[in-house]
Amino acid sequence: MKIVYLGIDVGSSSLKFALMDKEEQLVDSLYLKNHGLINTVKQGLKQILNENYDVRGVGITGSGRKFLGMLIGADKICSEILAHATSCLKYCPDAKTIIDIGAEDNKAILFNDGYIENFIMNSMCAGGCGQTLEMIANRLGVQIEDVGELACKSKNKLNISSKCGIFMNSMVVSHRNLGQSNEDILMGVIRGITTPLCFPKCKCKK
Amino acid sequence: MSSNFVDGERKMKPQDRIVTFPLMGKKNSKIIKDFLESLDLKVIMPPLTTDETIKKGVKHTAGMICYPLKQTLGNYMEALDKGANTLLAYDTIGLCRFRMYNQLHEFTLTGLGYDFDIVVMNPGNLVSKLKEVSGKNKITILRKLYSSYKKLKESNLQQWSEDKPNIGLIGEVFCLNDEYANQNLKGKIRHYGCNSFNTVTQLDFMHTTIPLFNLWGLKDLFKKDELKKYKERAKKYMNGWRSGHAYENLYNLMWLIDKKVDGIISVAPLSCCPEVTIEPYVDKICKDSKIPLLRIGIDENQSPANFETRLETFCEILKMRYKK
Repeated sequence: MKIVYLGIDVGSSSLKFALMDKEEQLVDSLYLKNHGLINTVKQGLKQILNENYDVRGVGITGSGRKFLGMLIGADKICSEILAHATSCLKYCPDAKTIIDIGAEDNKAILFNDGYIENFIMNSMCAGGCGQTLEMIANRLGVQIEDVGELACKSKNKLNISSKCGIFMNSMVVSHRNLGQSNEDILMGVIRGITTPLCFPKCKCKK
Repeated sequence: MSSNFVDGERKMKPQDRIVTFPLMGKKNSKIIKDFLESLDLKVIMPPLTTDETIKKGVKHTAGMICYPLKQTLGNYMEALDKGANTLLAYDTIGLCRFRMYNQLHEFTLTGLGYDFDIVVMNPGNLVSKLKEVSGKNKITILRKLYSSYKKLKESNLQQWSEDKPNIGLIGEVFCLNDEYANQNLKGKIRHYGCNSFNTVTQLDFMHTTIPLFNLWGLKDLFKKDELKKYKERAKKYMNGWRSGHAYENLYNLMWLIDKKVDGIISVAPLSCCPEVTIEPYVDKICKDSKIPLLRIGIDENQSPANFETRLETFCEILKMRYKK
């Protein structure tokens, strides 16, 4: 039997499972859309675990961490920002900034000399977060997985503000009606989403 | 109730009055209740604030009004439903929206068909209004007021921790002192292993806005005022008290930073005018002195998961920095 440690990230739109062995190497991982927390976790655990694994510890992060941690008796529950920062400092110690586009909140984490200096998150409204990006991609007929690759082919710079998801959507519609390409629109949306994270309060380092 | 009207004005006898007031923190509300009961008034405290209270308040107020109005309106409605007929309100005569709270409350509640009398106190007429409501003489009122003041002073004691990171709290007085509004912020900070130091307590609020309480603090006056030099320094940004807690927050922030605080949490209702005014100053002061700052906007749409993620991470970062 192989000794493994299980990590679960309980996000609002998706769940991620990861198995790690004693040498801190990734054994297996799984990404599932969130169709109701309990059912998705059941399905995920069935898929990722089998008789060959001996799970010695469980760590949970994400917005649903408290609830799921209580259900499956987690050994470690911590917020996603700390989880990102700890793993990033371990595997990529020279990093200065992490930007995480979640479904309902965006975060930028800033490092200084191997510890977290500051972090910035969107305030109360979740307009201009990952869910908006997914919605706009669906509207343009693009799968969310292909957005990054497609946006990199952009040639023209479009200004799309990210103050509100509804306004963003209407700007996308007007750009589309003017005949702009999907690549330019998607790049504009991504730029709109990331600009408030980098400017002006949290100066991300290159 | 029509018998209470004399010459078009409502004249209610003290023994007919059933008094209520909006809640602001469990402990402090209890002290206010004890004080009013010591004046032989019948008091109905609003039931503890719940989601239902907020719903009632939100339903009858404008969308962009600040959060304390919504919560206090809900409190009043629940107390009136329980049988209260006199609302006690307070007005600082400042320049922020707090000044029109009592008029909005009166307007909204009258429109909803409630029958009540609203008594608006301000720093100048506090004692005479209390005399009118309770029918006691001024000396009795002052004596009772003083004993409640001492109780409030005891309940507001705070400590500066030596072995844990200290988090300074600045912001708006209602949101900082009401446990429901700030989702038990102080308790959560303690749970995450930090110590909170609130600079905007009810006592400070009274000291700065009511001359009477300032007089009782006279013996502190002969001691050298610790905050005096910070008040001078804060004049650079704002010339004196106008309204809300803008000016207090500036000098308290400087005081906290000189005291080597580890982090600052600023709690204010969304769209609070005094807090928005000083926002860039607070940002700059914190940035210059390299103190992490977390802003928490309070509104009825706050989700607990979001709030906890921010607070937990902030406390963890402070603990890491503290160890270093």
